[in-house]
Amino acid sequence: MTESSALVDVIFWVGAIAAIGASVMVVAARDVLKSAVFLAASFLAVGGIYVLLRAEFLAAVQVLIYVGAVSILIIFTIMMVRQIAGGNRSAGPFYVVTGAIAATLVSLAVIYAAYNTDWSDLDAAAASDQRVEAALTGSYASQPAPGNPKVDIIVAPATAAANSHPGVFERSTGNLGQLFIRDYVLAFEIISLVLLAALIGALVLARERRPT
Amino acid sequence: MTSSFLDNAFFRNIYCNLASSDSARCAGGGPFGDGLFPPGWEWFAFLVTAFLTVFVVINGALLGVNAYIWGERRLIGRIQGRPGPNRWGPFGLLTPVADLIKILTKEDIVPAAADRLLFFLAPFLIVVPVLLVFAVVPFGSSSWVADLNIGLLYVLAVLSVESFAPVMAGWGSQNRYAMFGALRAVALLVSYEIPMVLSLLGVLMIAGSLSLVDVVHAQSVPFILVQPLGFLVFFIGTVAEIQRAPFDLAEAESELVGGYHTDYSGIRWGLFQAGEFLATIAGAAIIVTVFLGGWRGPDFLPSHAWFFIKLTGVLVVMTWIRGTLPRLRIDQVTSFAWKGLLPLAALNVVLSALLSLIWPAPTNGELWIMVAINMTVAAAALIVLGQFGPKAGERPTPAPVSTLREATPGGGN
Repeated sequence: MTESSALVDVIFWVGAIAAIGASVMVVAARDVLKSAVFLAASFLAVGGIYVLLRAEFLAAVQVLIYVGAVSILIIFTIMMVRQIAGGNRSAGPFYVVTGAIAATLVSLAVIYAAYNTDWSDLDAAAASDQRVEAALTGSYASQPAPGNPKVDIIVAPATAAANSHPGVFERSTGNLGQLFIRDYVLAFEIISLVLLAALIGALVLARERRPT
Repeated sequence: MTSSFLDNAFFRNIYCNLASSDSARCAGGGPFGDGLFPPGWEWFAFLVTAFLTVFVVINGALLGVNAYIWGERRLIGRIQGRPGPNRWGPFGLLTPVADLIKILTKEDIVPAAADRLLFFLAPFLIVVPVLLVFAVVPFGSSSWVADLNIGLLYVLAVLSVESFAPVMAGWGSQNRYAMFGALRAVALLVSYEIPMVLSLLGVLMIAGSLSLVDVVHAQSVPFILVQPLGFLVFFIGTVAEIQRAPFDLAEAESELVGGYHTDYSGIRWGLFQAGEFLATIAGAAIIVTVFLGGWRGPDFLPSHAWFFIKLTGVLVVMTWIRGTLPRLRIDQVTSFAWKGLLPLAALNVVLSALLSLIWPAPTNGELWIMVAINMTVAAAALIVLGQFGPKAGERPTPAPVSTLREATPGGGN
């Protein structure tokens, strides 16, 4: 790996503190529209951390969808609804209690997942094994394993140009696309169908009833 | 290693003269000097060179804005039968300089009721994302700041951040004209982003890559011929997204004073103006790169020259549109996006997917077959879609926008 880890640490902490600070301001800001702007800033900071993790595609989609579309739609709604826009309405006890319960459950789930995930250190693995590094960042070739022709093993560094593949990080966009619209295309399409149904349902519920 | 600005011979020379100890990057070039920095300081030489590159690109873009403002005012003057700016310098060439001095010396007024954070941030938010776009544009056969493997997605993502500027300006000003301008701007941006993104999918399927450099390399036939529908939708979407006439209803002078930047003055207003023209140049640069073959062209001119000739051509067409078409109403604008552009973009996606299933890696001849098929379908689709619109000479009946009736923005009270 080429990046010096001190620099990566600094960038990570800047991104993390920005994300957390912005999230705190979402709750703390008195103006609802300002909350929405801080929410967008928080999304942006998380996108920066994705770049740091070499998930460029995810980062771009995070900015495009969450910052550019979701936040803008939230802001649009706020600007259209006069009652919200004017005021600092304080929430009643019902919302405080339910909100606290929901927040606790979500954070418990996240903490549980974080503690039960195997965070094997890619940097260390890559430093110890040249083949891991090649498969991640460089280019590698694969050939059938001796004795078991169904399993491909990685040969690094790639020698013949014909058989060399770009590493996982070099081709993350292509790999994601492969998973989405080839391997898991049914799940992907069902999710879009569900979202479409939700959209139409919202339209039907919110439609103004005209006297016929 | 992804390619970067070091692919350009000029900046590679600078880098290798600063740090000749970097044998991996400087192999085969040169003769280079002894290197200004000792071994181990390559990263600093890299930073210095990167800063120089960015400096050149940003200032080039800003100079381009000045030149373009002058050119557009002259051309629109010509279209409207008046001389345009012609007092300062030969042909009025110094008018942007005079304008800039005027803007810089004007009083900087902040409304008493303004939300200061949003009010001050908005002008920067309109300029910075557009400048970021220039980072991935290939200006010549080996001249770019960075060749990201998510290039096109990066452009779309960065430009989508820009839609915050009108909102923050409109809300921060606490002024009804500004608020209405912001509402219109957001409605416009949200509507046109979807067909724009969809129209690029066809290009991606043929090029097989998101990198702008790869997209240029894939264009042995310019994609304006292979993807006529995609080009049409993307061009209209770009003009709408940068809010130029006929889509300039967010800053309609006759209705909303100045729209979301009504309350801005001095250099802050100047930043809005610069952002708007920068966005036009950036949009034109993306159109040139994705649909017009970028820097490709016959060999008798260098690649940079081809890029700038095409860029000027697209900018002239945009100015021509601005000078001749009347402004659209908000309901016309949104229904045009949803009922006109979106079906065309969807049709283009389906058609391109089918064609790229038949020819996964198209050769030159196969690209020309695609040209024939796509052109036919595009003409048919436009004729069919034209049957649903208002006929020539017919006045469209204004549709009641019932959902917007209650939308009196309630800023400040």
